[in-house]
Order: sequence, then structure tokens, then C-alpha cells
Amino acid sequence: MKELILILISAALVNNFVLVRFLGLCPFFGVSKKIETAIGMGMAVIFVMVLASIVTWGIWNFVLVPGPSNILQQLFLPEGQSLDLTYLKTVAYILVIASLVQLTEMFLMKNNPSLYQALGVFLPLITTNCAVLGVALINTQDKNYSLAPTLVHAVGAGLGFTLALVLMAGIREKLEDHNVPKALDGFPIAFITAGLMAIAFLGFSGMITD
Amino acid sequence: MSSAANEFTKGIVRENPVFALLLGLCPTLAVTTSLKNGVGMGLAGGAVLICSNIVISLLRKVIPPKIRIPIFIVVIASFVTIIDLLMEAQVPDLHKSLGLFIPLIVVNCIILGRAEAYAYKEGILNSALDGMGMTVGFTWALALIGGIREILGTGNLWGMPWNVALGSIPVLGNILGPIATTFSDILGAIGIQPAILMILPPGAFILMGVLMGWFQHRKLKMEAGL
Amino acid sequence: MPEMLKLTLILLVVCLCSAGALSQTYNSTKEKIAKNRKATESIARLAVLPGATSVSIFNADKSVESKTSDSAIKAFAGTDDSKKQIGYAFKVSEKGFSGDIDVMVGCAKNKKGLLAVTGTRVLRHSETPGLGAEMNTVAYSDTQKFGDKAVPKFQKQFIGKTVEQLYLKKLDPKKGTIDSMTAATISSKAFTKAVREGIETFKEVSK
Repeated sequence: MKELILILISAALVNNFVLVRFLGLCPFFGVSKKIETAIGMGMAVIFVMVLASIVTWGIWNFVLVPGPSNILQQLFLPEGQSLDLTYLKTVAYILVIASLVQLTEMFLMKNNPSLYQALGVFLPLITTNCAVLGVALINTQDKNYSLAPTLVHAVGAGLGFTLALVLMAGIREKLEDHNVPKALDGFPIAFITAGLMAIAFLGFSGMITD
Repeated sequence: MSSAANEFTKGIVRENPVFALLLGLCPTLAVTTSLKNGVGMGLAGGAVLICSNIVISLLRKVIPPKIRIPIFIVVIASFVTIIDLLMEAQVPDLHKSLGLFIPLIVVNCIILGRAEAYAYKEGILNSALDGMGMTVGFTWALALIGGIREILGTGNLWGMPWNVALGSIPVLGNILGPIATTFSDILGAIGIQPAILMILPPGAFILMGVLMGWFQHRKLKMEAGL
Repeated sequence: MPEMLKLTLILLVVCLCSAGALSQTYNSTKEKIAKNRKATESIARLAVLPGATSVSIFNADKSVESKTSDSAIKAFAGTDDSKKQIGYAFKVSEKGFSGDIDVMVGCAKNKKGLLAVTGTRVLRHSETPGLGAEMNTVAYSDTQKFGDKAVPKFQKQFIGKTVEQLYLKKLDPKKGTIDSMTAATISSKAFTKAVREGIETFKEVSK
């Protein structure tokens, strides 16, 4: 149990996907102008991340990795021969994510049309959100988590992403009322803000050595 | 300027994918801890971009609009996997440094963006040129950021102390080398150390903000001057 | 629905072509990749045992649960051209600051009969560049002199030390002999612990 909590905190704060791992930057700078949209985007991303993590966990452990648990290997190959399909991970994962995002879109269109409108073009762009593909790759390839840590890690990553997004939205909303030098207005000041946030998050480093 | 040359050059400055279009931010900030990594990623991503642009342009008449995005994704992901395997076999050290970000090339918005906005509509030659121009633009942007971060953050350039790196440039190196070494000795004598923050995440964000601010300043000046 | 069918077929054909291209590439690169992965470890074994020209598995039938990792330590004995024992090499793993650090440790009995470090090599790490990653940084002047054989500055301190000495000066002022890296105490501690516990476990295996 303690290990799961550590994974959660590590993914959300210590190894924050946006400010430390550099994943999910496009939506981070694109959707962070208003706090409400940021929260909505964060929720959508957590949803996709968790679903994608579960499905990719299944695909990695039962279809791609060679060994006795590989379904294809058991069905089609004679005893003793192993089937290593790990090189198909990129193609498989991204197709899974694209499909899940499509499903999320349809789900939101029916159940929460206002959020669907607010997110606009950024909803299908969750497919190209490196944080989602990143969390799937880290779960399976880098850390080889079993199912429970995979879920916790995905939730943590999504929470960290949402946290960074909401913080950034809050700051940018405030910045609207202030005089930013013309040269820095818009993205330059957003990047510098992100840099200062990243320095703050550096304070978490070393908290958990995983 | 002839149209073909235009397709190539627009990606270098005017429609630079990183500084003008703000695409492909994740690898730009993550792998540019050194000049070599920046150039490596720029070329790897570029290879995928050019190949996928060509294939998608080749197949553009047979790809039905309804399923074009999944097909783009399959094509791009395949090239990414091919580049991933080739790099692991031929340049294992670079492959290890770039790590997670090689498979992440598949979600690099530059590639999907160019496929949708360009390769699906234009001919093969133009698509190839567009891909090459974008590659040059992407690579020099990554090289700039990587170079600055490496020098300020570690005092090295391309893995060597910066004065040695400058000294090893053919021809110019004979003049630059000794000057750089003198500078380096003076800095060392004063006790100036590299700023580690530059190779940590905050350094990347701040440098990017400063660079973009500078480019925006130049753009505003140009527009005001008209 | 003929249109649905047509769309599905096209998608299927594209996926099949992709699968074909990928498995081709995989087959043509898989040997080189496997060779690269193995090469790192066997090169490292020879590197941490200066003077050794060949290695062979040591005490293949004995294996003891290593303190540092879940897998037992597999030790290799290194000999030189005249079949003289140079020492033993084994791989250890320790949790570093941002991931596991895999180290190849070489040790041999010194003149007093105690096991001392003959060499170390980092096989894998994800430490922070400029901080923990400095454990692998070779002084430039050394690169010019020794090339591939150059030992990183931080790791030079380990050569010749015995288990009792392998502690950080910062944390164990009485028995520590290792200077930690600037602003990278956790990485330094992890590396030191890996080497020390590796040798302690090896003592068990070699009994």
C-alpha cells in the first residue's frame, strides 16, 4: 500500500509529467488560458490515461512480450519458441490511444456537450499528447509495473498534469490584467512562467528515490 | 523565388516548426541537454517526417478522408519504429541518450501536422521538399537550444570543453581555439562555474521563453518598421 | 454497408504493409541489437579487471540472494594470458536518484588478503545530467591520455578500497573515504552502496 502511495506522489509531484518530464507541453501551453477549461482538459486526460494504461498493460504483457503469458505464442507457436513483438509497441499503443480518444469524444458529446464545446479542437489532440503515450511506455517498458501500480501511476500522472495545467491557467488569468512587455507577451512569458514553476517543483526532487 | 525552392526554405525561418508554429515542444525541451542530442533528435524526427510525407503524398489519392488520421498514424508509427530499431542497432549511445523520446516522435505534432496540412494535398516532390525544409528548421532550432544549454550548463560543447570544441572547427579553429582557450582560462581563474540550472527543466523553459521573446521583439520591430 | 467494408479493408491493407515492413526491419536489426546489449557487459567485465584478457563464470552452481537486487549475483572470474587469476567481476544494481544504477564491479584479494576494488563501470543509469550523471564523467585530460580506458573522476576513488572503507566521508566521517559528488549526495550514496554491498554479497558466494 505504501508503495502505491509513493508511486502516486512521485508521478504527480516529484516526476511531474509536465514540469519535470517535459511531456504534454502542447496542451499545457495551448489550453491553459482559463482555469475552467484547464480543469476540464485535465479530467479528460486522466480518463484517457487510465483507460490507455489498462489496455496497453494488457497488450504488452499478453501479446507483445515473449514468454509463457503471451497468448499468441501459446496459440500459434510450438513449444520452446518465443515470440518477441515488443517492437510493435509504438504502433499498437498509439492506435489504442487514438481509439480511446475517439470514444471519449463520443461520450462527452452525449453526456457533457458544454465541456465538449469548450475543449474544441484540443480534445482530439489528446491523441498527440505525449503525456498519454509517455505514461503507457513508462508503465510497460521502463518500469514494468503490474496492474495495480500501473493504475496508480496513470492516475498520479494525470493528477500531476492537471495540477500543472490549473496552476498555469491561474497565473495566466492574472497576467491578463497586468502589463507584460510587448516582446514577451503571449508565449514567451508563458514559458518563463513555466520555468519558474519548474524551479518550484525542483524542490520536490529527492523526496522519493524511485 | 521558384515555388519548389520556396517549399524548402519556408520551414527554415518563416514557418519554423519550433519558434513560429510552436509544434514539437516536448522533444525540443527534453532532449536538448546537449548539442549532440539536439542534432540527433532533429535528424531522427526529420527522417520520419520526410519518409512519412513522401508515403502519404504517394498514397493521397487512395486514402479515404474518413479514415485518413488512423492511416497517417499507422504510417508515422511504422517509420518511427523503423528509425528506432535502426538507431538501436547502429548508434546505441545516441539511442540511449534520446531514450523515451524516440518512440515519442510519433506524437510529435510537426509530423502529423504536416501530413494533414500538406502531404495529403500536395505532390510527392513538394511534400519531400516541405519535409526537408521543416527538418532543417527543426534541427537548427534544437541545435541552438541544445548548444546554449550545454555551454552554459556544463561548459562543454559536443562533449568537449567549449574552447577545445571551437578549436577543432576546421580552418577557423586555428584562430578561434587560442582565443577561446584564453577566455576559458580567465573565466576559470575568476572562478566562474557552469550554471547547472540550464540543463535542468527550468533552464529549458526559461531559455525558450527568452529566445521566443527575442524573436517576437524582432518581428514586432519589423512590422512596426513597415 | 459496402463503404464501411471498403474503409475497413483499406485500413487492414495499410496495417498489413506496416506489419510487414516492421518485421523485416526487426529481423535485419535484431542480431546487431542483441550484440550491442551483450557487448556492453562483456566489455565492462574486462574493463574492471585491468590486465585480464578473458572471463569465465565463477562458481556456476552457487548463487546467493544479493542484498542489493532481487537476482542473485552472477560472478565472473577474470584471468590473463598466462591463466593467472586477476579477480572477479559482477553486476550490481541499486536505486539511485531517478532510477536504478547498474554497476559492474571488479574486485580481487589485495596483499592483506582482503577483497579490494579493482575497477567499476556504470552500465546503466538515469541520473540527472550535471549532477548524479557526473559519476560517469571523465576528466578531459584523461580522455586524451587513456581514451576508452579512462576512469571517471568520481569512480577513481574506489580503486584499491576495501569494504570497510566504502562509505561517504560526508555521511560517515569516521570510516568514510569517498568524496561525494557536488549536489549529488543521493547518487553518490547509491553508487557507493552498490559497490560495497556487491562485494559483501560476493564474499558469501565465494565461500
